[in-house]
Amino acid sequence: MPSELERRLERVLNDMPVEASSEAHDRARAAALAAAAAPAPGRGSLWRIVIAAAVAMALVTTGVTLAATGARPFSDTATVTKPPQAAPPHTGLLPRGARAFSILADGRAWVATPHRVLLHGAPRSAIAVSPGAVYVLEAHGRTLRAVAAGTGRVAKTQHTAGLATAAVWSPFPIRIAYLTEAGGHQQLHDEWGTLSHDYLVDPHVAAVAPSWRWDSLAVAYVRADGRVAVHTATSGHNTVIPPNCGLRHPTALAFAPTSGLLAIADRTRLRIVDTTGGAPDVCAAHSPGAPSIAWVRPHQLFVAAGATLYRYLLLQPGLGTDATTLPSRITGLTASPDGRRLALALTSGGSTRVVAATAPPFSEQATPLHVLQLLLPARPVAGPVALSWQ
Amino acid sequence: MVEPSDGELVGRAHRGSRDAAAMLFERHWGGAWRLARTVSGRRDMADDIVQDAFERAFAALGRFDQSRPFAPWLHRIVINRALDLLRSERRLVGLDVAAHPSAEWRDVSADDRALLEAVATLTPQRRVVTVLRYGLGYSPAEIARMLELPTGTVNSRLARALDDLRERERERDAERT
Repeated sequence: MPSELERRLERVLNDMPVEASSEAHDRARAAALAAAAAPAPGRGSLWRIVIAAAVAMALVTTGVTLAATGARPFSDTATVTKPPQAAPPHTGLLPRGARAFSILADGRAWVATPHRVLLHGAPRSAIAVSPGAVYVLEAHGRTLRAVAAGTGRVAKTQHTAGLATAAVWSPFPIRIAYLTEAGGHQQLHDEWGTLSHDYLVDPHVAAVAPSWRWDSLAVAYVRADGRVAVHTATSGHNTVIPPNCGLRHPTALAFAPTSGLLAIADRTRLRIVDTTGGAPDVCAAHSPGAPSIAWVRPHQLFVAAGATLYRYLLLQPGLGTDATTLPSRITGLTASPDGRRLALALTSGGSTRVVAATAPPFSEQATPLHVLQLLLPARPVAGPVALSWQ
Repeated sequence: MVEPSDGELVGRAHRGSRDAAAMLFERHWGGAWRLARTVSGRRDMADDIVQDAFERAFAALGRFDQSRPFAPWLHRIVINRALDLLRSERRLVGLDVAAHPSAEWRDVSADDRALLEAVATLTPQRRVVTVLRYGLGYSPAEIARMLELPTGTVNSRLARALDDLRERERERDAERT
């Protein structure tokens, strides 16, 4: 016969509330369904159907979204041109299972989808692939162009006040944030996903790619004075985040996938701040070097700096860290949408190559980086490499 | 209308039915989250553990024996992921934190919270069998099969866990008086 304690345990454990956020639930659901749809032996035709359905859904979603902005969708205003320049097939450019992958290094861009290589070393100053890999936004001179990823068709062109140096789609593809350089100043703009309704957010910002919050309603950026600010798209307000953790002149920032947590890094420090004000700041030091940030889970992220790849796990309280040291400097980092794989730009001896690798897990043993695929062979690259994986 | 069994849903999900996969996910999400939450002792970790567990389970549906129940298989994956993370903490380096966050359990009465906190202080081995037995209703024999342990070991861990919890209750009562 169960004791009083056992009866209480049964009741308490069964009545325990599920405190997961709806975002965590939705993200887990999407990841699980994607995993269920992954190819298995003998399921090739089914997999193709699933891919087609997913692409169709992404197209429909984006079409609805664009229409919902009140502007005409791209298809109405499109200037159909010849397909993009024939690029040499380079199947290695696309990580296995990716919808799109882009590399921007030293003013040259590579963009690949399962259907085609859209750019192969073409001169571009900024590249942004839309969520679902429906459109590729490319900056060339003072022009922004939205190109349909599936066909290479130019959907919309926009002239900008200066050279676009960075561009980022919001997670729900209704907005684009981009930086321009003119007269020695970087400016941050926010506009609709239709390349219309352009709004100057801040005329003096640092040359650091902004980052959208998961709900697409706010974008974080670095001001020219090194302070980090969050621009709320609905109200137009810019809120400066008070400095902390000893960071000076951040060069990378990234919102977490399902919350207001914002990771900010400079050459030696990392700060994770809850922009909704609910949790205390977390600070950490890292090897000196230009940092790159990639979130892989709601509470886990990678930071690359120098030749070290750090994996951080946000605890309550505190921060766990796990480091993998590589023989090369890491000059670019991004994660696959499911967080299981990473793409890294590795630089040594003046040349850089881009590889896909398994995201090293937290484990009791030190885990070496397991490289899965060479995405871009070694080539001379001087500066940081911007990578994007859809 | 008769609800499809887990085995039927697994079969349909493996053949490509997104609806079946979604139904299977919703059916087991809450239990898996509670298990992850209780075994890990952390709400923030539970989100990651459950997502990871579902990804692994759904990616391996083809290897799942549909004649066996799905929940124990999923729960075993959840437990393994939770214990992996807990074990890994031994070599995690604590870094500077500006302040401590607020209390862990929300929307729970004080007595219940005390009991949940006491469960969280059990050793991972005892915590796992406690949650499986009293939270998910598995018998000691089922737990033994799931964890690949002798039934006697499971019973022993359960008994010691109850002893530990009674001791915590006594300490708490003493503090009150």
